[in-house]
Amino acid sequence: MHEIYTMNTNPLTPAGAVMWGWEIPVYLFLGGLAAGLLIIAALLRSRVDEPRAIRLATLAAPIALSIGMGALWLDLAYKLHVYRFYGSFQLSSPMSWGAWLLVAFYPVSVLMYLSLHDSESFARLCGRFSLLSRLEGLQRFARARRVGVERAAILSGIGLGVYTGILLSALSARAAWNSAVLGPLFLVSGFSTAAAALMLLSRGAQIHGALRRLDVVAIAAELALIGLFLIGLLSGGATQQRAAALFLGGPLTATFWSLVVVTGLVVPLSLSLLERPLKLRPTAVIPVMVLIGGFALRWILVSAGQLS
Amino acid sequence: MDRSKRFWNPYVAGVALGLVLLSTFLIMGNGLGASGAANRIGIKALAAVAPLHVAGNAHMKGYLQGNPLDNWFVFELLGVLLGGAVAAYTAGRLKRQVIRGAGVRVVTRLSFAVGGGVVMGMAARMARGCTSGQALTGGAMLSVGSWVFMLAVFAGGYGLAYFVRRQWS
Amino acid sequence: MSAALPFSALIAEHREFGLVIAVVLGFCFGFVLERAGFGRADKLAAQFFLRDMTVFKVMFSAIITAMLGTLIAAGVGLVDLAALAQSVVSATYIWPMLVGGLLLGMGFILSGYCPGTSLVAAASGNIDGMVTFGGVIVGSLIYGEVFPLLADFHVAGSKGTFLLYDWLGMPPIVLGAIVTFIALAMFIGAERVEQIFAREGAAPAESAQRVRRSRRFVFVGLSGVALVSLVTLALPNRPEAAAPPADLPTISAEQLARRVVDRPWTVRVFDLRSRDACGKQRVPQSRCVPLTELARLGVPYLAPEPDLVVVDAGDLKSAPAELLRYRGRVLRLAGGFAAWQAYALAKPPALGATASADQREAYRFRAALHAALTGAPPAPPPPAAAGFAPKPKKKKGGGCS
Repeated sequence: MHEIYTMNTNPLTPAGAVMWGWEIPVYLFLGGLAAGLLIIAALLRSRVDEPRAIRLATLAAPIALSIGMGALWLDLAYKLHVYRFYGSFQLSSPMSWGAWLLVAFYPVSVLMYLSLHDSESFARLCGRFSLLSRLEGLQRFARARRVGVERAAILSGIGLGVYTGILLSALSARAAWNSAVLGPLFLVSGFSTAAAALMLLSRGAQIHGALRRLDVVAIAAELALIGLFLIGLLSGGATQQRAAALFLGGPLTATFWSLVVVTGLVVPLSLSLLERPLKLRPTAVIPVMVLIGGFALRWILVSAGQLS
Repeated sequence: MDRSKRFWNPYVAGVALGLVLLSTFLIMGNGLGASGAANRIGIKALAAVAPLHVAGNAHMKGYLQGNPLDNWFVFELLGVLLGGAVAAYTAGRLKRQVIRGAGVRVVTRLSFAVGGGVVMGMAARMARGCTSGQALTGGAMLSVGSWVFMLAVFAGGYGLAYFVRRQWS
Repeated sequence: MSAALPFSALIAEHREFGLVIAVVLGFCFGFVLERAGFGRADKLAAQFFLRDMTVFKVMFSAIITAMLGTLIAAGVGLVDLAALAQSVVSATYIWPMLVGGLLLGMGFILSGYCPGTSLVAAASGNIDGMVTFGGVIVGSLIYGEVFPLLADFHVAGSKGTFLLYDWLGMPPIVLGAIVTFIALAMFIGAERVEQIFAREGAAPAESAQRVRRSRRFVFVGLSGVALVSLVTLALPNRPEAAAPPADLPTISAEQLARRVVDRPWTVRVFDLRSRDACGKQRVPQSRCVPLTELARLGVPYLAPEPDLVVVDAGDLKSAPAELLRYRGRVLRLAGGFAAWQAYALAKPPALGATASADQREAYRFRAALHAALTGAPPAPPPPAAAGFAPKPKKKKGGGCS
């Protein structure tokens, strides 16, 4: 309860003004989710025998990304100028990189989706959606090169996942975002939210086991990266230390630790680890917690940058 | 039945609950509660759709200084949800269901539940707390009001129980 | 002032950490409630049909455990019982608490939950629990809506922080021991009642012998603790009560007004009168802190730079101990709010023509303050030497809650 003794503040620049609303966190969340879904689909397709779930993941990835980009577009001040991202390519601008990455993500996920079908199931699909028959050549190509397509999917997934973090850390004037850890952190978090989302969407026993193992690894890595992130800020300059204090006693402490660390990481991790020894049936609770934590992470980090 | 899947012995559970409450007293100088958080969530939601209405209400406007959700009881509520889910899950009791007496229709049961909830919401505001915040917390601190409240809760419950016995049989 | 556990730090200075601890404690609370069986409406409702006294047993063992723990902690000087009670317990309002309790009991038997257990039920997947908690939210909003009609009843029978041992005039620990033994006797009665009303054909409790053993263990444990806690009576009294009610240095209404207007950052004004009085009219910049709420503020953790000025209705008789924990200087307004009223809210007496420059200046200041605070037309300027009167910024009163 410290009182502020400032008598006059300029009404045009209220202290601690947070300029970004819900749009950016939603975009970052769905972007990370899309990246994770595509990576998981590519990783698991030859390891689990559940083609439906893999197809679902591949299909959900571009959809999630599109919704996210819709949110981003709502945030743009000049909505009609969006095409200008594509008029040039700036080597030093992550925004520019990202714009092109997003463009690459769509064809890769389409190729990935096509490669999941053999000629028979594709014929069935064409029966339902006649337009698809035009892609027959592409489908044969993707099927033949499916290992290459998988690699491309993993690469573009990693690219997108890392980019959602770098987008923030590129704005290095904001102390809380000035950290090289953000890229990997958002990638790993996107991965674990994607595993969680897929757990909600498909309940097959085999894929559930695989997803649970992936999720445990991702959550453990995320905890480590969050530790690194805070240590990195603490060992930085004065402004960065102040940014770290936001999470260590400052105004974001409670939400960060309770929503991100406890709800999103520690509790689901412990429950996932207990699932086998206690012979528990899978439930929606763990994935929902992971999703809440993943969204809270982005929301809080976006606010942190704007407060620091 | 598996050892972890049974309910705890009531006295053991009670002592455990008492120790949680005691730590809350000693560490936080605060009690446990549930209805306060409900009130704040409601006000937050109402303020999102009708901010002027809330600002004009004598009982509610005080909560709008700062975020109504930035509060001990709201964070405690988050913990209760997590703890309840973890306990139920690890005991194999986590299941989507409607608990009701034999032969009671789901619709009937749920309307009774909502109705009872509404009555309790009003009662808890009137009494400055519910069974957790008033009876348990204030009872342990030996507050006169809390003991009056607690005895009244049992009186009200037993008084009405006969008339709704069908619901629970 | 030595409570070994400075809980107020987690409320004031380290509030954010306190909120994280809230999640942890809430977790334990929810976990224990679920494991006690409180996530199931049928088990809770059975209490009211005397088939299963779990609610009663859990609740009272929890109450006496926490009560004995608190009393012992206070007895050995770990906490300051009075300060803890101030911080934890809501003030007593007999009538609304009685009626609210009756209503809550009815809601309990209708829904099968109380607000806290409905959350646990919701968390364990019970849809009836979810809708009950939704109902609780709606109900508290409805109460807010009808509040204007109930405003008088809402505060009927107000007793402030009112504790049983104060009312009965006995040492807390003795009452604690008595309550414990009554509860134990009632537990034994409850066991009987259960046996009588148990449903015919209900499965006998699993391994009755183990249940009996743990029951006996708890009973013996609790009564043992209650007896041992009486020992704390013999401990020497804590020196806390010994702090003499020091008389605070004073500040006059005029001095206070000058500082509030000219250098507001050098004072921090607490209005100790009741919220109603304070809400109506108070010194600009002051904060309504009724005496009962002082302990909640974390006074020792407030930044010590500004002087703390306390305003009571009249002269403050003795300084509350909590105030003395402020790290900066503490002053009291001489004459209390009455003096302020006389100085700032009444029309300043007219000046004679012979007034000195200082008097003129004082008059101008006071007249401007009076006009700003009351909205009355400004008093006529002092005779002769008409000059520019420094107008203080208009301060708005009220709006405190």
